[in-house]
Amino acid sequence: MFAYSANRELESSAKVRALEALLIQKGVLSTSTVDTILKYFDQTMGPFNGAKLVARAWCDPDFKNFLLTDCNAACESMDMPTGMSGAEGEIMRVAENTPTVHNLIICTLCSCYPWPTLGQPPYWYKDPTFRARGAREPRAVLAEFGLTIDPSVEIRVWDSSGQIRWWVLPERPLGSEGMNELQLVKLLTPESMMGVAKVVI
Amino acid sequence: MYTHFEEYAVSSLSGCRIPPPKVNGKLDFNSDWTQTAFAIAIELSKQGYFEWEEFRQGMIEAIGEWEENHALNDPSWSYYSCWTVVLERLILSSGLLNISEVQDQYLATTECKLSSSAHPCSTSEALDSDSY
Repeated sequence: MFAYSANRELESSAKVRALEALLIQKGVLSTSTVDTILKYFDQTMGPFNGAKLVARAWCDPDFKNFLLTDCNAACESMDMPTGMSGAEGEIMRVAENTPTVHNLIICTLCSCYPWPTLGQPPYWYKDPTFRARGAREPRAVLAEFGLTIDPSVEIRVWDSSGQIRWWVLPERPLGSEGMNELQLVKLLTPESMMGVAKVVI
Repeated sequence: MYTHFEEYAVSSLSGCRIPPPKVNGKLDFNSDWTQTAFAIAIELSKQGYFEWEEFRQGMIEAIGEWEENHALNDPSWSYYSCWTVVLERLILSSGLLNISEVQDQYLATTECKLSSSAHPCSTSEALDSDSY
């Protein structure tokens, strides 16, 4: 986390306020521009099928084993849209995060992604630098996502392909013991199921 | 595949080792003004007032300049202060605003802050720097 000097903060804050006021006066920005842009980052995508699968797995150990053993069959067992279990014939596999293992999914060749469960891939997933560095220095890349993994925790990187699309079963967060599946679904983010974030309450 | 400009903008910065501060995968803003600075830059580039690549190069330059002249643990480091410097330069060079109107508005903003500050002396010193 950065430390800031009060002076530098005040100067920058005043400049930004001045620029914003002038741009609104000229009609270049509206008063809702900032909220609109930020909302995009907060609510990038809607509910995910992957979130439903994870929430069920957290609540039902048998389903969790089923999901880890045969993700496609687990998808078919739930009431999900047609084509959910591998629309292009690909196999989906799930890597489970534990206190000793953290998983990260990447695609070093292109941008293979388990879109039936996670939706459309974010742009950075397709970025050549992320793809290369994710394989080479995953710990550093995760730190840039604001996720520091303890050195004692092993990081496993899973490279998706046209045949196998990987995604991550994150750890259930502490404090969620009393939550039901519907409540748990709301905690999940695409980042947590890609391995670049943890699930937090 | 359709890509949101917002996402492209952020990931293009991540690729060159000048990523915006994040916490647990999400953008991390420490105050309202940093959110505003972030959103203005993206919106103006979306509207075509400057290319995002110009902004990205500006950030590389601004952060490089900072690192050349400060210790890496300098407590006055602020990612979004660099962002603001680049944003202001591009707004001026695009002709969207001119320096005198920005200066007048800046002074009006700081006077407003001064009049509402509980500690005007320290604030005055802060705003009486070489900003203009």
